[in-house]
Amino acid sequence: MDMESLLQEAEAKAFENLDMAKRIQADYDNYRKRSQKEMEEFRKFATEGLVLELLVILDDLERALQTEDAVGPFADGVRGIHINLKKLLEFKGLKEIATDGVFDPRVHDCLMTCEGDEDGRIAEVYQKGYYLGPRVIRCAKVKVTNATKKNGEGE
Amino acid sequence: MSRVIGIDLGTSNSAAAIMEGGRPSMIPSAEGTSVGGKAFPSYVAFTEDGQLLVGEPARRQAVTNPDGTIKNIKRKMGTDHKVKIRGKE
Repeated sequence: MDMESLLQEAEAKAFENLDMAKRIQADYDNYRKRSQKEMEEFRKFATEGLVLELLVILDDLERALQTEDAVGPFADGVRGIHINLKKLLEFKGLKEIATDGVFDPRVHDCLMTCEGDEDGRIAEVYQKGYYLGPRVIRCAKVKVTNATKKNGEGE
Repeated sequence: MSRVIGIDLGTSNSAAAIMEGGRPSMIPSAEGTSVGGKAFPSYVAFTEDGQLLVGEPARRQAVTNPDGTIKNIKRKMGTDHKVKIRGKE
């Protein structure tokens, strides 16, 4: 083997190594950027799990206050607690998902359908849905109208 | 730069991952982590107004749009089964 071809071989090898090093560096940079972003997201939404669990209590309070027995000073006190809890959660970024109008699979979860004059309207809300900041943390569980069912064409 | 993506196409749920820094890392779906972690339901739906939905949103509307929703399709893979939705195969 002459010097020329040896040199060529070494150059090719060097180029290959440099290419690999660049790839690994890029890979690492991406990884670092993503972990940093994930860390920020984590910090931002660390409360998400807790808020999600507290929503169950918020639901319970709402249901309790909707009963016929929810009258008098004691009920007013509980109403106050409900308002306080809701305000606190709203301060953390909680926002109710609107359920008046058209069914949207991005924020609503359809549990069942019923007869209706038109398709895809929300007929009943079983469980309220909420956003925490820009994210949906719980979908609203709803019943959706179906016009075909009424006309007897379905099934 | 080319990368390898690994896809677990499951009957009920699917997931995807890439190799990063020598370790596999799962790609979360746009809806973020849900009940199934970073995986998402194996659903595809075509809505009446022509939208194409996949994953979690597709699962949520499955009850109102059973004829336009495809699920458990892995079971039919490898057979000559064809899905017909809104006149298209």
